[in-house]
Amino acid sequence: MSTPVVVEKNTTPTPSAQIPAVPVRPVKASSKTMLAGFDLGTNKSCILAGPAGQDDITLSKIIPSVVGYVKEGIVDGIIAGNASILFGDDALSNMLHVNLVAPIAEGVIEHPAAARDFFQRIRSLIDPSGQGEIRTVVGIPANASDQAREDIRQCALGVFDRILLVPEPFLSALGFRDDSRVGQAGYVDPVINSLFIDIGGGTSDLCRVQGCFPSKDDQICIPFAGDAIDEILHNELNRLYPNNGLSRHKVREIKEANAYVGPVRKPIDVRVILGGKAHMLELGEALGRAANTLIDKIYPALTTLISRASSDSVVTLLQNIIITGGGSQIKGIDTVLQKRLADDGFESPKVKLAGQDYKRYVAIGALKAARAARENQWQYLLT
Amino acid sequence: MSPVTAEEEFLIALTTVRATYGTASINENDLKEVLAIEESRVADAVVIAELIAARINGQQSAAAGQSSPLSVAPEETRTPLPTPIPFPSSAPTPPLSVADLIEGMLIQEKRDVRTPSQA
Repeated sequence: MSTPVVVEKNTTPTPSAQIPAVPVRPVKASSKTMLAGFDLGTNKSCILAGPAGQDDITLSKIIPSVVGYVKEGIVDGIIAGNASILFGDDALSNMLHVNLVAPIAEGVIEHPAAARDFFQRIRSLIDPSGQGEIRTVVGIPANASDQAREDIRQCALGVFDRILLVPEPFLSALGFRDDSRVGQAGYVDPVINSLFIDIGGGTSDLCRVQGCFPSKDDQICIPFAGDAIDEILHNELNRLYPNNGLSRHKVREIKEANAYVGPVRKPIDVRVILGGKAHMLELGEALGRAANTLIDKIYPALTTLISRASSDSVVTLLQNIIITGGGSQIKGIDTVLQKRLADDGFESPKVKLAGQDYKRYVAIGALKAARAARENQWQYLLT
Repeated sequence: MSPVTAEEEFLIALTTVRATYGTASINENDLKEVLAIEESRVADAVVIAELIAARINGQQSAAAGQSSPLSVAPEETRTPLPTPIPFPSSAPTPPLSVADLIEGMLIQEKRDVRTPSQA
């Protein structure tokens, strides 16, 4: 039986009006090939890379997904190297002097030109020489639209040489999988039977992974995640403390340090600087209300995916529900979801947190996929 | 006498340095930065270990396969399309090929692209 050829050669994608056409950089057959796993996140991106055919990792980096374009008239020497574009932490630490652009919103490309600049930066980190062939597996939200996929390909055109777009929850499962224990008795391989809840900045992706590649019925993407919690919390703060002047960035910091789900916890006193003076704000209810909204959004999707599992697999599946992404850091999220499932009569549910390495699982999975991909599975980026 | 913990040892060292070179010689931000760097290094090490473990595991499986007279012929182990695994499985399940899973994804994508035009 012949293997179907899926390489996208000679395709003529509809170019986005906002994405300038870039000539394809020829790949030298003798040049060094680098493989990369790229978690393109709404707020933070993670990149892992290493030479093809080796186990070495030459790059492991988490970068805020932000591009800063230096404003006109900035005096020489203010920006290191008089750069005109800054990325990630450099852009954030110079936010007074740059126009910040977030290329990604709700998990998909919002600003193509900034996304292309961001990709260029990623490429330069992977291969500072600029001479190598770069193949990258990019994580995309579950159920990403064809247009969202095409936007990524267009932005990657001329930056990366070959690409594979793979849904993030599946990459999480692959990254979370302990390969050294696969096949051992007692080890439940997350790739064989698990349900991943990946709560990012723009979207929450739920995905059942059951031994074959997840179909659309196995995945649910909810456009409600960390950023939406920030917005609710920000509105609540503005209602409680009008004219507080807190930036969205500061609100996110407060959330990341204190967010919880479940019954109201108070007092939660948070120290903030308002108008140059320190104030203590009691945010117990506001934080709980904002974060509990996430549970209300996720839970119906979770039970929907559970209900679609076969009766043979569902008991094991219920033992292997894993929360990852930034939302996994919300206090109590595992116990609240587990209790709600148990209260609703689901059989011995067990909800786990992916752990401290949650920021990297998608990129780890992506690099594993890049190293395992067959030659004919890589897609060319052609105009 | 109870053994000195790492934290106590660190505090003693910190006190000694500050007593010798002044309280401003080390500040908390510097220490936090060092901690962040070390945390990042540990995270990197975990990632590397994870990926190397996969390769070692693969090599061990290959070596075991070679030494076994009952090893499966390569033609039989190659599965062009991933198939769902029956549940539940109390016995260890053979590791899935990531390439097969990717193949399944690409086939699904092609099918999804074809479906609207055929409708």
